[in-house]
Amino acid sequence: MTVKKYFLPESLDEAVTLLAERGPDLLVMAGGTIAMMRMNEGHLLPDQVMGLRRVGLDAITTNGKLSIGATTTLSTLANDETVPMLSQAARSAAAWSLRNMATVGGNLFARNPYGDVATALLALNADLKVISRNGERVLSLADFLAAKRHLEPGELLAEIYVPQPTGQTGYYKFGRRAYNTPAVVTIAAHITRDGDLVTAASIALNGVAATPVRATIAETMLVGQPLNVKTITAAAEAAAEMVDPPSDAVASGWYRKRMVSVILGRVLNQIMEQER
Amino acid sequence: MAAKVVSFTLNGRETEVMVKPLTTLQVILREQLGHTATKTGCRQGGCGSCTVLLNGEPVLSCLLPAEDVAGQQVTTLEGLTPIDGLHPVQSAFFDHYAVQCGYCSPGMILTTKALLDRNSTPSREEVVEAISGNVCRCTGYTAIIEAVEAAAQALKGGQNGR
Repeated sequence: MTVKKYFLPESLDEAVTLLAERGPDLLVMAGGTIAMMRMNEGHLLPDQVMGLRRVGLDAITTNGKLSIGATTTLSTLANDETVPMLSQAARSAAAWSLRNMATVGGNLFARNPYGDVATALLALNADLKVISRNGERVLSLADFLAAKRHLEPGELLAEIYVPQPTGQTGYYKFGRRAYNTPAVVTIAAHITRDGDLVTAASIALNGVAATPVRATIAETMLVGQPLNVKTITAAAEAAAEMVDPPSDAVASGWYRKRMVSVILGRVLNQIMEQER
Repeated sequence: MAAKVVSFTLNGRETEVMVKPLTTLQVILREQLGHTATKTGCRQGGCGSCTVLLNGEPVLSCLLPAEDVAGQQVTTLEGLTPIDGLHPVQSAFFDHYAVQCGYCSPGMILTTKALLDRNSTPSREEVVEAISGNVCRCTGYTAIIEAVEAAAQALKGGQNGR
């Protein structure tokens, strides 16, 4: 370990001040499940590290809208049933001991095949509050994930805002084992219907690119249509057509592409059959 | 590399250590405090052999900076083991041949202890889920799962562990 300084700020103010003063050389770490692993391996050799365990961002509040502090652990989210799809996604990630450490905010920075909670949050149209010494701003998780550099220098992710789902949700993580498994593909969907017709659809896919992505073509195809075997199959195949997943130790790109249509079909079927 | 003094409660005892920046709890336990029941496996958070209990919750000491546990309660296998004999979870592992090379056992036993503290009658499914972060390459898990179930029975029968 080459680290010369390790900071453990006791407040958000102290954290953003440290970040402003020390600049991009300061590695920011929350649960440590990604950063510590890379440092232990020698893949990451920072001089200075800031840990966020004591900044007080580890609470979930439901005052009007659901707000998740960035350093809330996945275990805490797994035990909060405000939005069932989010607890389900949190429970599907890694194993108990890892979930006691890994954070919701950190999950948004995770690279494929991790990021299951980010996938559920993407389908729920979550927004993020980021803070720097110059103030704060809110951006959508979709923009955050799509950007090459997630945050500007000096910015810290503080809160995740989740609008209450207006429709029905479905989530399915497909891995090679039942528990503690990286995703072959993970799919989260939020479908709103008026009568039989879909009025809004958001579908997020993980395992198919470096970060979770929206299946925009499938979403567009579903809006204005009823959910039935024909529309579901067409949307699921279109979603698979759109992606070019990576091959890695977990699964081949070919298999992942195939599984996008199979698993999305299952998720949409599940939503179709749910009681409303 | 300014070292800092970190105080925490280790197995019920106030403990003070000098810690270099970002040294993991795993390294402090093994190399400074001689608590070698906590193993060093993958150091990537993947194998669970370094599992310790932090305020009763299983965490991975290889990913945990020692400074982060200041003022908190850490339990290792040494803390679970009575001066004479074995903790009921340890006895169950012994009786059910759930130990072969033994490398995963400290993590398995601590995870089991944490599980049974929360849920004294876990289903087989719940046992499997709970220990899914602890990798065993010898026994094939069946013996371990049976040991956890036996430990649950034993603890229910009144032989309370510490």
